[in-house]
Amino acid sequence: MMTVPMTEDGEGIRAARARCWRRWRIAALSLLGALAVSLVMILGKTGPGHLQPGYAVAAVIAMAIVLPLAIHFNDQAKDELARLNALRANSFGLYACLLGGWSWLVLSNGGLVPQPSVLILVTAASMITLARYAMLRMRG
Amino acid sequence: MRNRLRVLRAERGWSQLELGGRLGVSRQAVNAIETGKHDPSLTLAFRIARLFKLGVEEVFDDDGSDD
Repeated sequence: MMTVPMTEDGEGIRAARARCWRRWRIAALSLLGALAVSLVMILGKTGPGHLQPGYAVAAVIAMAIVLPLAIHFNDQAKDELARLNALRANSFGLYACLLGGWSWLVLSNGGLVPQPSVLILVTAASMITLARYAMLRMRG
Repeated sequence: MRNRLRVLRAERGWSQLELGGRLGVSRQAVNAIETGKHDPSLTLAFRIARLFKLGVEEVFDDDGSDD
């Protein structure tokens, strides 16, 4: 929960904006770091043995630390309405991923489409989540 | 839930952005509360009441709906 130190007349606009921007900046930097690692992993050669073990461990540790940090600071920078909207969008994205994944698997088992791709499913679910969040934000 | 937030804000000549800054929430959140699209948490409701130096029940009024 976001705690706001307040004077008698409220926290003050500048202080609130500065605090919010500070958290957004940390979240954006963390997210960029995580994105860079992800891109290297996705765009690079895949399959066992293509990444040196040292780099692989470093990448996993970076993702395990940087990504939760980005999520944490992003969450801190939001107010309760934005957090609620994010939760709704995440649920929507999860349902889309589950429904899409199962449908794709069933169709694939029926020989109608190729094997499901985790990368496509995760990317599609992420895009759907972002679109849903944008819709909720515009509605609010 | 009904509330007098828009009236109280107008009495002080504050914009939604200014009120949001004083409460530590976004302009969208202030608008959503004013239009009844979002019921604030207890914490935020108390923060709003404290800012206007009123009791929570003087700002917010349960209109009897269960939503």
